[in-house]
Amino acid sequence: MNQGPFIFVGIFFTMALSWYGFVFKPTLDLGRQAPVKLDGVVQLYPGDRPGLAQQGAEIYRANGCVVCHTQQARDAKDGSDKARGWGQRLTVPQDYLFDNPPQLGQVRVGPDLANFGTRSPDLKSQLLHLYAPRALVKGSVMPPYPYLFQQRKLGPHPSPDALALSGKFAPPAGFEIVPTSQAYSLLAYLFSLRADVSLYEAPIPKPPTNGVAQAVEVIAPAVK
Amino acid sequence: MSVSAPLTSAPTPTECPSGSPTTVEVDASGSLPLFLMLVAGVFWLCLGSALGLIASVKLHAPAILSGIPALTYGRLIPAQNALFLYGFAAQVGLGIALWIVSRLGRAKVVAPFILTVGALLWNVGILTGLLNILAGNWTGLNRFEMPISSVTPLFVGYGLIGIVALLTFKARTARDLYPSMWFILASLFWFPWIYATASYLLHTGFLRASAVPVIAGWYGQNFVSIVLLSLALGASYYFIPKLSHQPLASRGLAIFGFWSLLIFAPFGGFAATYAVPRWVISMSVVSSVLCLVPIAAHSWNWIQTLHCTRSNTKEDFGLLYFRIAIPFLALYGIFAAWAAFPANNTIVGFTWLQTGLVQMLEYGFIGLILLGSVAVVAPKLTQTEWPIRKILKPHCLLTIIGVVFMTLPLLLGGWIQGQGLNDAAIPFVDASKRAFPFVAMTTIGILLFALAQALLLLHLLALCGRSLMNCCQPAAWFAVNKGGAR
Repeated sequence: MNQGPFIFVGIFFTMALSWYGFVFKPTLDLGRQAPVKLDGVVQLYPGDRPGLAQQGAEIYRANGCVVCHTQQARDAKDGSDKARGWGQRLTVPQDYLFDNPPQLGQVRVGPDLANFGTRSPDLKSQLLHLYAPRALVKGSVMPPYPYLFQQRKLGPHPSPDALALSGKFAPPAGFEIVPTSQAYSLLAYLFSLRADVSLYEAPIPKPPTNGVAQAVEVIAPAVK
Repeated sequence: MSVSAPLTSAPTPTECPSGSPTTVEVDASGSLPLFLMLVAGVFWLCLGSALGLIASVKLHAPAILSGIPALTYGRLIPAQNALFLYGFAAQVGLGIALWIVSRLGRAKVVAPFILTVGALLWNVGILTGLLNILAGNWTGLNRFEMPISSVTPLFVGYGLIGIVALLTFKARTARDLYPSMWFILASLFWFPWIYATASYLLHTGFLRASAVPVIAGWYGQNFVSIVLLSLALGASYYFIPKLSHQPLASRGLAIFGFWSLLIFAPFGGFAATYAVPRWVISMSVVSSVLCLVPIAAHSWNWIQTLHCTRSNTKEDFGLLYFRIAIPFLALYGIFAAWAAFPANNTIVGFTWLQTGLVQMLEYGFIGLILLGSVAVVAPKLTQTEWPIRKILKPHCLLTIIGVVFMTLPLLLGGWIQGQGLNDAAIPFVDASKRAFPFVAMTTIGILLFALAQALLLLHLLALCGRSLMNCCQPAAWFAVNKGGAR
């Protein structure tokens, strides 16, 4: 190992090996991925997110939500994700085909958000949660995001968008807290998160249908 | 502490011709840019740790400073990571590497002016990156946080530093290639390739989004586990024998560890990810387990080297950094391999254990080795002794205790948290709360760590001031240069 060129060639070869394996090949394989046609519907999956949700994705990225929230649900056999209602199936690359960059995340300080949109969230309470997480979830460690909201002087007619705050979270008397467009677009993005269609590589298991039982159900009343 | 004699074997006269410069001349040749890199690196480390401390406090009191967008948790953490990896580890690592190349090769640092420009550009890149991250303009990708505006200064800065390193390598008068040189060469060649690839693919939007996590993960893994780890390994192969006054135990084991690391490590990093192709995950699991081989080889080599240290020789205090770094690397290897197994990953994936593991490698091994190297190299560059040598001891101890608190509690906390998360009957908030006593310990850890680095930064500045004062007194300067460290 006293020959500079020998070491250089060795380094080059090992480097090239890693580059081929994890850059060249995935770029070719995944680079060819395209939206897929699903059974029984006209739309392709995944579709583009609507404009407001795309703006929200930028806010999600800029504020580093990915540091605490993952967007990858696991199979029922790996952990409790399905039981918690975080996803019917494993999240796969097809799900984030148009999300550049995908915000997969590594640590769950907060819950997984891959299927946030499927949990039928309520807009008002989610806005409240964004402004003051502890007003809704006791002991939450999520930081409040007051800068996505505006404190306004109360006019003759209170804004219909104003948050219903009480106790220590309430604004000073004569003021109201209204969401900015950023807060709305962030929620539009969160509501658009749903990886809930059955894919070839990640099917959603259907409950087994028992033909005999069904036949009995149909026929039994007629026989009576 | 004297750092001068050759290492495993004394260079023969043909390898080290009489015309080669003395160690004092070698140290003096690149002292300004190299010292600049060390001070700037420690400054970024201080700042990054301070940001990390604020973030850690916010985990206990989320409402603190919540009105300032730049100080939201999700921006502080990427800023802390970027400052540690690029501001501190890469910069100090390169500075130490250049010093080792010039010392081992017995060659003066070639073109110190170009090196200075390179170092300045690198720091411009870091500053731009930091401001952008705090302003919310970051990539959203772990270990590749800085936006496109930082790419040019970082890349050109690195190019200049790398060219100076290679020219200095080429100009060496001692031809023998000691193991440190291999690691440094690997790191020097690896970085431009992966950084160019990642910058092109991730910044230009050329890539299909579904391939982005694979490329970003590959880059992050290669940057930390090859580029930065190689710089730290190069430094440890230099300083462990040097400070313990012992020859390296086995050159063969070093060769084995070197190649096995380069072959196995690049494929890791996805063991705790789910939403990427299955074969990528499988290769990562295999890689995490196989990485035990180089880690064991290196650790065993150093333990053997240190084992022979004569008890009657007064041990250099700087060696403590390196002594503690070895178990961190070994523990990292063992836990990373354990956590990679699918059965274990189901429990500890997505928990605080993952953070603890990463910090064990980054702060526990790479950080400790580089801080130890700074403690040894900085006085040689300025050719002045540390103004208050006693400060080194509290710095070393505070750093070690800080890192222990930052990492070990998370391993246990992550395990307990994972048990709770896996039981759907336990609400998410309750499962998360189980880890919080352990997370609180990391807050203490990063506080101690940040304090230690602030101490080191002040000490470095004092060293700089003392060295300048010596320069202004020709008689004293002459005395130091004549009788200075050899």
